[in-house]
Amino acid sequence: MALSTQNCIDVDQAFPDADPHEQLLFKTAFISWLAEIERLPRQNRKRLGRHKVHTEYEIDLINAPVIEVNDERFVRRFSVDSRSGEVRFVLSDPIRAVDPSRDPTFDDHVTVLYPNGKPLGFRESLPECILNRSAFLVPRRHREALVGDLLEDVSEMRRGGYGERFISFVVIWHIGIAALRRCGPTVRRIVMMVCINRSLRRWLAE
Amino acid sequence: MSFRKLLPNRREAMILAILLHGEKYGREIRNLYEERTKLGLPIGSLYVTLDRMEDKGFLHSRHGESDPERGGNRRKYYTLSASGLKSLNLLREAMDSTRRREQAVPVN
Repeated sequence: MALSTQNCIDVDQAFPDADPHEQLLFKTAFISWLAEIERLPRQNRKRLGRHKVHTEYEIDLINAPVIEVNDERFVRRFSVDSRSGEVRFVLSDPIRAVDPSRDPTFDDHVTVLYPNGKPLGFRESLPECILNRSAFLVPRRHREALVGDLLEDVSEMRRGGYGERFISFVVIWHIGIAALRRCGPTVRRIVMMVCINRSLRRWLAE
Repeated sequence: MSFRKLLPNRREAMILAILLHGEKYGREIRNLYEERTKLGLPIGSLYVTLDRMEDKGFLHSRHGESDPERGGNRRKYYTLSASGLKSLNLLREAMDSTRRREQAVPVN
């Protein structure tokens, strides 16, 4: 399922078993998400549209590690090998790139190169629904406060009786935007489309 | 510093107004923001805004207590700085003067 800002997203169809309240929340979240994309400069959108980013980069990130980002300014380019599914962040300073083979927590499917990139130290405290599912880029500067707030949200939603699927969606939405707001428009757009595609495909597959 | 940098944007102004009532942490600010504006605000966007406001000197922050519910992560509390208060007042004055000018225009 390819998504783009031009495509119409039928949320009712994408989440058929969600109750009306959840449907409404999903819709709100998607609209906000797409609004973020719409804020990108027109020129970038055109350029990205020509390269069909949303279809080219439909990749499987389900087994990707959770990593933290110490400084998004180092990201210059984001490339994906469509055959191997390898994701690579091209850095302005290649000397600082981390060799993923030295870190046993990086798996074979996805390689994320990032200066001082490492799995979150508290990944055991992340909700089970997102653990080992997605590659999240959490800016280090507000990592502690942001993840803590999200975990409080998760507890509150669980007390409120929300399903795990919905909770994981909210978490992905929050973390995704946290990372993307500080990236350049190209990285932001690509990562966002990957996130949307992956989230939707996962739900559709379940 | 340019006049534009001194003035908060709409989201910043709302956050400054929320912090007028005392120290708050991210989630509290987010909840109050959503309650007042009826608009969704992802925590990620909030922290980016708070970072920017801190860089501009509008806010001060400190780390608070950790909590098992937060996975041991500490809260980050924000307070309004003198510069933040000044910028909020500047914005208020600018809005008041605009309103006065609009009212002064004679209606035919």
